[in-house]
Amino acid sequence: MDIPYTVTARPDTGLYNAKVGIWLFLASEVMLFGGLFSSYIFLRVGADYPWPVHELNVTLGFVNTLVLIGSSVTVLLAWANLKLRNIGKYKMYMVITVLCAGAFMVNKSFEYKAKFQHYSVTLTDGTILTGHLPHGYEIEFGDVTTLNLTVAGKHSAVDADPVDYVVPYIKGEAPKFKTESGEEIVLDKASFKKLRAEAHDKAVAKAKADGLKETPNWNVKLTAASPITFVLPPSKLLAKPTPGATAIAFRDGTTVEGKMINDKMTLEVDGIDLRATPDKEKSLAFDEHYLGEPWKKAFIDQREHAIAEFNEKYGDGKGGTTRDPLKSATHQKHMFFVPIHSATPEVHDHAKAEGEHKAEAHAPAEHAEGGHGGHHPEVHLERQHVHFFSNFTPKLNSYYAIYFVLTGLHGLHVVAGAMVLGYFVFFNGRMLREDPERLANRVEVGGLFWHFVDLVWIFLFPLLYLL
Amino acid sequence: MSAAAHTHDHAHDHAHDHHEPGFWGKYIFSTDHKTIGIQYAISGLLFLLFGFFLMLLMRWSIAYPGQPIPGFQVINSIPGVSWVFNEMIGRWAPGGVVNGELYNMLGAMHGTIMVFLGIVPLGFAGFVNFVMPLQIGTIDMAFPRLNMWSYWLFFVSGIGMLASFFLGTGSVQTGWTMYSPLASTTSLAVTNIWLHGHTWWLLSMVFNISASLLGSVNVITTIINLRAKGLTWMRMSFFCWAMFIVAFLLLLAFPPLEVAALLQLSDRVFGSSFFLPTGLMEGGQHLDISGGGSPLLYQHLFWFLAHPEVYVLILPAFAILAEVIPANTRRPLWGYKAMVYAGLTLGFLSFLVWAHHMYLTGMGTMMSTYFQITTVLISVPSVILLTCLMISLWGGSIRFTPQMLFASAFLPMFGIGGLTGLPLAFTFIDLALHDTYYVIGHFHYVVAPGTIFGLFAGVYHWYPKATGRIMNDFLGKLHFWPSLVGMNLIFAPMFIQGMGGFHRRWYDGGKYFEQTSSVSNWFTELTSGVFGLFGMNVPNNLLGLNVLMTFGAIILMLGQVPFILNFWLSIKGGKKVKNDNPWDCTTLEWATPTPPPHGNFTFDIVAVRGPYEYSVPGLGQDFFPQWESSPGKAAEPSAVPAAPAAAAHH
Repeated sequence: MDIPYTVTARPDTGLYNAKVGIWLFLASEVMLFGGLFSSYIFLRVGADYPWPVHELNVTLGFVNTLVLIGSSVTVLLAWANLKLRNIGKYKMYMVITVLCAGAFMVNKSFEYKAKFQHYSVTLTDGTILTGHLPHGYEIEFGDVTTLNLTVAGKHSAVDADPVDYVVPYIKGEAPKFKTESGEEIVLDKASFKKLRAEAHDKAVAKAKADGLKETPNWNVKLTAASPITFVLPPSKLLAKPTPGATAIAFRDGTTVEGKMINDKMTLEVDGIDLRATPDKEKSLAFDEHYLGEPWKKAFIDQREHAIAEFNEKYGDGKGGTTRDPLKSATHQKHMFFVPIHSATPEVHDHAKAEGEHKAEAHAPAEHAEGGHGGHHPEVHLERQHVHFFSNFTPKLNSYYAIYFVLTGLHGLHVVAGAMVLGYFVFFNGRMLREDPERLANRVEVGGLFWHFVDLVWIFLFPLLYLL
Repeated sequence: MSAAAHTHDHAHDHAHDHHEPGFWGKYIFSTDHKTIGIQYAISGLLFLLFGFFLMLLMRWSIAYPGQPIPGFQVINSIPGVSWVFNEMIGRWAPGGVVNGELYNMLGAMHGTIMVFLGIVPLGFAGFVNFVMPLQIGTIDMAFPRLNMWSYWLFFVSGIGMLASFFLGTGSVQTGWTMYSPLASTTSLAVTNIWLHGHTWWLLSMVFNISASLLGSVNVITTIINLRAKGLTWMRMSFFCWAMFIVAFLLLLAFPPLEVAALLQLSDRVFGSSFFLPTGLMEGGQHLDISGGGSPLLYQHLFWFLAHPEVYVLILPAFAILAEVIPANTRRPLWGYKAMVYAGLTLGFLSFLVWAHHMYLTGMGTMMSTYFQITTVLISVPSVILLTCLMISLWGGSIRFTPQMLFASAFLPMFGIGGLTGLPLAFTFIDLALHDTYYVIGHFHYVVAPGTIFGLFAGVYHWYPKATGRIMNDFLGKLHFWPSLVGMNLIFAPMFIQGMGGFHRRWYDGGKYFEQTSSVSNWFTELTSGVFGLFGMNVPNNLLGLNVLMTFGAIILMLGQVPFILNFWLSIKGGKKVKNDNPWDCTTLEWATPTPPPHGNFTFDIVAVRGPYEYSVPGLGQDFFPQWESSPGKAAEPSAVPAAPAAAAHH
């Protein structure tokens, strides 16, 4: 009662079962990645913002390409050696393949980590500043005397839980609160549980008294013994705070009233992107409180340089160019993206610049932490000038979104493939002794998958890194 | 001995393995294709029933908006049941009145459950797993353990969907299509986005898609590589052909939906803007998103799956009918080859028509012309399939068993569904009818009295093979007639309402929309008049049809009671089959013992002729099984020439 054709091929198809299966599976995978690549094209063609080009580290990507291609060769050698029953070599090549997968993922993790720590801030005029947030980004909201908790009447996804969602962001020591009945409490799990139960009882009683069909929400007021200041990342709020807000709502529905003390964002700028700025020379980035004149000058210099270079390369000798400069994403980037490698522009009179701009723009290196901090100007952005900010994650724009989904899904395939191949070499010792032909089939099928993973990368690399 | 034993390391010591698996191995974590088929089928039937109850709640809200659900007090008074009801539904139905939020959840989950957890698992996975390996004369699927994984992944997806009702947010509310941007941005104000009905829907879909991927790989491989000796492609039953095509559709069409689900998940959880355009505002505020994405992209990805999905839903019914009709008319299937080629054409074309769901998005005339042409083209193979089945009835001596009743009702019902779809293929009509009840009527005629009748026929037809007993004939007829009447009372009036402009997502059935109540015609007058005879005051305009349809739904519900009784009671109480081939059929599954043991066949089975050799002149009996060389005598394997080998490999 063995299932036929698990090891030997069926004569009329010439294939054993697993080989049919893996090709079908790969067909499905082609549709999966095909869908994602199509999405990439759709998003890029339809993008209403300058599509990011040449943003990724090509060297890292190229090394990874070599690693994967190499591992495709070694998995093939492993299979061939197993077929020839060179067991030692088979094992060696399999182990190399798995190690290559590991190397690929380590490489990838460096790429990801750099993106998670790198930020992009879109100003209200479309200018984008990229850089690092030396202190992260947190807002300070103070003068708060009362917490308004909302205890949900019916089972709801937003229900007061200040112990998890509010208290952790209080600056300094958590104060004591006075309840409506005048009791003094410290807000912790036990005291809040009691408080919530009381509120719920009141809501139910009210519903009964008023003849309501469902229990209403119930507001609970807690008065702080002394004014509280909150320091928190804005992502912990239910809605993003507006500049000068006098009230904020936490993720659990708790609202507090007070005063915005500080919502400035301190950014160590490592790039100015003016591609989407309508009037580039009047960009907010060159505001005297931010980067100021010297960088504007640097930008103008760079733009002229880029135009000259373009004309030299594509000039038709009659004053025109053979290519449309507006259609070249690369040229646009050369003109309008100003990379920043130093605290002040290099081609500039340093002494004069320091004298003119005592502004925060040229913050001295004492803020510097880690390697590069001191080499970049630091700006303190007003919240009302910030339209949108994100680190280099899917949130930033649809390029990074598709970048993470594509490479993430590909990475998962690498991990899965490595696990399967690792299983064959490390845990299939018995089959190797007793039925090596069958194991060779397994390695062949696993290898086919591995080639597919490699192939996907060969499409990914030019698409995301080069084009 | 477990079939799994063959697929892993112990190929050489299975001699030690000859013990019967315990209860868990035999019925729960089984790798036997028949058990998995039955698991799939029963899960599918239960989900169909559940989806049907969601629909009843919706229909109540449509016909009697603002009035409490009947039996609400009774349900609330039963401990346990009342807890489940309140956590699932009651939270949004104060005093038993369905509100808009709940109606949206019911609508979204009705669609999802019926399509992805009901019909596909029953029609495709259930029947293909149970019948196909028997019909191609093999002992099991090519990858039995993957088969088990397929079922359990499906199971997890089903549990995930059901559990989403109990979350704080309730289940998803944005329709079964989950169109972005609404679906990407709605109700994000939660403390934990991972505990959100929408997130669970998306994750459950990922599980569901993985399950169907494993299943379809398994089915195709099995059909390609495990057919019995002598069973050439053109000797294979149309059932297997149709399932083969369905498996390809699942294999190739589902991944784009997986892409859509993953990208939407990313939009909701990681804040990306795949489907969100620049400048999107909600409640007067700019959302904290980058924008720059495309809502249309979602629709393209979704419909690239969802149109082939329509054929995934309907082809299993054709597959079953191709077996049921010849067996009950005692005539060969008419146009077997034409059906095979039509099926293949249908499968291919189904990938080229998706944007006819998107005429309203304002695509250019070039694009819409292309999709109108392909849409009209695809009706040709559908009509060929239907016509062949209809001609197969010609001159037959029909046995009206319950399965044949369902099969013969399928033909006109699917015909109505198909013909009402033709006008929708053209943009100028579709623009007016889009999102109205006309569309609902159209596709429900295809999948409800169409597909589901086909599936019922299949249940009655193969039940004796699975259990060794025949389902009760009288209860079967008691099941059929109310179902037929109920289905038509629900769906036929939808065409009239739809052409009157009734929108598909009104939770009050249009009561509060002034214009809807002014339209009346002979049908609405008749409806009102007939209800009047029974002393019921039903408006004589289009709103009156809501009541009629709700009555249809109640009739349909009552009609399922005999089926449920019949299904469970016949396991022990049904009439025993007279032999292994109670319907005198010709295909290989009837050569096995009843019920088939593990390993299926007791002799070395080969196929020596085509699948539908009924009423062969001069034979002495009106069927000639594929595996017999002369009536009553199984063909010798040596009588079949070995298949020619393919070109030599390494």
